[in-house]
Amino acid sequence: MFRSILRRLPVLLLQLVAISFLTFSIVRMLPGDPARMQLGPLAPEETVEKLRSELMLDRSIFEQYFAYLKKAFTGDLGASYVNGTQVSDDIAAKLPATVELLLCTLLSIALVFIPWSVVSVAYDYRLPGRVLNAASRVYGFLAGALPDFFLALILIFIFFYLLGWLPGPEGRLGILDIEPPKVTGLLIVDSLIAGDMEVAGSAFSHLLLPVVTLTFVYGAPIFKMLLSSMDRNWHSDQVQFARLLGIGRASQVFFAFKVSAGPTIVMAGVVASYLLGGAVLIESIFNLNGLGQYAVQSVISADYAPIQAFVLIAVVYVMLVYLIVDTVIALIDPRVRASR
Amino acid sequence: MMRLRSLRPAETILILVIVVWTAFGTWLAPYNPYEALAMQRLLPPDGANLFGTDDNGFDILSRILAAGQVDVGIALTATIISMILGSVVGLLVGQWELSRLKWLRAIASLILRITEIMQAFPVFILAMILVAAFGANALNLILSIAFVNSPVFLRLVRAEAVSLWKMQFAEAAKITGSNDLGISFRHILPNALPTIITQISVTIGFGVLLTAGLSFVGAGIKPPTPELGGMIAAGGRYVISGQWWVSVFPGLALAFLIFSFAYLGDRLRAVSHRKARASRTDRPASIGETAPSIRSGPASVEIVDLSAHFSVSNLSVSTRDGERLIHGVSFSLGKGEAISVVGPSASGKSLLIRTLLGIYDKRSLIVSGSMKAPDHDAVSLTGSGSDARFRIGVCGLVANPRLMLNPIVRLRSYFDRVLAARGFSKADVRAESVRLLTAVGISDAAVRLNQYPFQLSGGTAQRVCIALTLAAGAKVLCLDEPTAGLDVTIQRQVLELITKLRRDFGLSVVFATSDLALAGAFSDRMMVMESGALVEQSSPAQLFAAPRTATAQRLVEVSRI
Repeated sequence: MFRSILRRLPVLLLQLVAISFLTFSIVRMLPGDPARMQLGPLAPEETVEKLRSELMLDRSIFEQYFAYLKKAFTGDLGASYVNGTQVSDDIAAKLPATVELLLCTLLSIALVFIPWSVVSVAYDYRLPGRVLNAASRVYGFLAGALPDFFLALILIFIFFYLLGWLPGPEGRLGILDIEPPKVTGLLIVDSLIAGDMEVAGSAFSHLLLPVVTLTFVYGAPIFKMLLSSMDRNWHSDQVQFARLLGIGRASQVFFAFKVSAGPTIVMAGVVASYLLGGAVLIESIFNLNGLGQYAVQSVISADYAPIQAFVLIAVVYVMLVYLIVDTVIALIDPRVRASR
Repeated sequence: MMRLRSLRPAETILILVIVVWTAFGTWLAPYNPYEALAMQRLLPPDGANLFGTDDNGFDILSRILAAGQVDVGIALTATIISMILGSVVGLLVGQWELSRLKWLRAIASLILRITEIMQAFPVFILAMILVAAFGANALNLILSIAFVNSPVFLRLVRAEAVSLWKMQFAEAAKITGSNDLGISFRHILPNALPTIITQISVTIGFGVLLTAGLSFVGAGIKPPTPELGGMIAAGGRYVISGQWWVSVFPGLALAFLIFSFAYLGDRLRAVSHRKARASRTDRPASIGETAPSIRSGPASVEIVDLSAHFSVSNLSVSTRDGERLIHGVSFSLGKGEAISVVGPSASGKSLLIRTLLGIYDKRSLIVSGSMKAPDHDAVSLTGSGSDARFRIGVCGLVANPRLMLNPIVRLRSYFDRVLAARGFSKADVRAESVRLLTAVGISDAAVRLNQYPFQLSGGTAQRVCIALTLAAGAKVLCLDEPTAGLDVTIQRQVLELITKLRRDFGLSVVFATSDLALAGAFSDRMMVMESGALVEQSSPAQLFAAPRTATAQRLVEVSRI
């Protein structure tokens, strides 16, 4: 199996290079002269010219691209002309917030929707099952209509302004919280490592609304897929046969779930890659200071290097998601292993 | 395509609201949506400003009414462009893919690969970067949204084109001498149109969402142009200080738009699916759907024998619409006895077996009657699951044994679970599974236990299923078409195996088959079914020599040919 994934790697790599080149060329079309912007309007023309040739702006797009890639491999992603900071440093500082947001969202999608669909399909004759069945119709109705950025504002209004239960959009921690020493960069994990329960709680409550928003909006397609394949498989001959053989209900659910998992994981992969777009909006609203917010700021100020780096990271992220999906599917489905 | 008369009233209203809002919103606005009154900042909703005013002193209702034109206009224009772009390229790709020229096929697969990559990439980010690169204005917004949405149409049209090219009318047009490009646009495009149109509404909704989202982060329409996403963003700041109306009303308006387009898209798809289904002809008959209903079914032939080894009384099946599929079937069976169920196709014999086993669609069929095994009380078949059958030892399988097993659960886990449910200890499970698999004629039982059902052939899967029913402690084995899809020598082997199991395990067997000769050779009694009712029951010798009913007579005649 791992051999087959290794065999796919070159193709993935090629796709990666293709996309990053495409976006590289697009980003190069951004208005303004990067050299002039980096040095400011008062710098003498010779200095600008010198930087221009340093940045290889006078060369062909291919040469520029390969020079960029070569530097990127050594960890040099260029400098932001707005802040004057190294992009790689910015990313190292902002990546954990985004990773934390995405991981927690995917985790909460799994925790909420797997039990939900199992109970509403396999226990539909009991009260909880029927309640959940009705709830999934209401949810389907709402999830299709509420844009993530609007839902986020409503949740802030209700849980921060009206009820005061959760912190407002002030970032990943309160002003008085002291950030735990960096180990993984994920604040909840790091503060637990440091044994600081108070900060861990604060980090959790700051993350709650963003995660709920993304779970609500991005969980819908995954849920829909899981629910419909669970429903189909639960009423299939093979589960009814298992029942006939006296196999317990938990095992019947497991049988139905096992064959439903494949298509659901594929859908989860698609959603996970779109989730990065959601993170862009949600990070900006909740001021989480992650990569998404960084990208928005760079786009608005037409900041060359950070946008390019963000695109590169997005591409790697998408490829990584697809690689993980392939691996997980091969792990759970012996048919896939056999066919490769 | 959705005709006007297939619209529900609510849908008509939805469409009218959106059209009026988009086309005449600016005129309907109570105030000038571009005129800010500095004295009237952040006024809560009241009689003068129904939705309140924002931080610039704009009347929010007027802004929302005017924004419809901007949001829907951008999304609609983008959708039309992406539809045209996607359709044309999709048509060409579909045509090139089937071309004889190698380089055309290569271009086609390259384009498909690129759209695949595009669709894998987060759309929002792609659109955001495109808008940023070319400058945030309405035109670039439209072009960017059109660009990121075009793969959807491209792939739809391409799939449609490939399948249509293979159909005969394209062949016919080719013979008459039209050139490929002409065929694409004149014949294939009109046929692909319904598919394209069902996608339009969904894409407009998605375009509205993208427009608002991009404007929300500042990479789209900029104020003072009224636009919903921008308005929500402008109000976002005030949500934490309690001026909710600045964001909430534009947000609700946006939610209404997105929901409406998604809903209309769903309806369009449902209507066109129904049409496609209706136009499909001569679907093969499937269980319980096409069996003829009974007008005046004859009464059951035999009175139930309660002292019998296994008996079924007054079994009836009807659909939820009241159509009767099986009518009052009763019969009984001695220990080790085999009964075959024969009858013309769609006479309900498969459904009978399925009902005996409890393997049928419980959401669409209603079953009544009862079933009894020795040492057990009669169990009602009304609405009960398969648990009751397990209790009294009725088990079996329906046609296509490969569908009876979960393809990705090892045989060992099956046996472990089935035998554990019957109280076997862990130590005995393995020996017992091997013994049963050997008993059904599987030689390398120990190896098989580690395999998955998807690795088994049809015949082996059937043997495994039978071994599992034995493992479940079955005293009565019910089989639907146990020999269907197997070749002649294997058919005999399976039936000989069943005969052996009757002897070795004292198993009683009920099996439905359409092969009268096999039924006669391998059963003690034969039951003839017609239109869901049992019309005759006799020994094979008697049935072949002197059939009493016209149905049996016909069956015997046909089997002699």
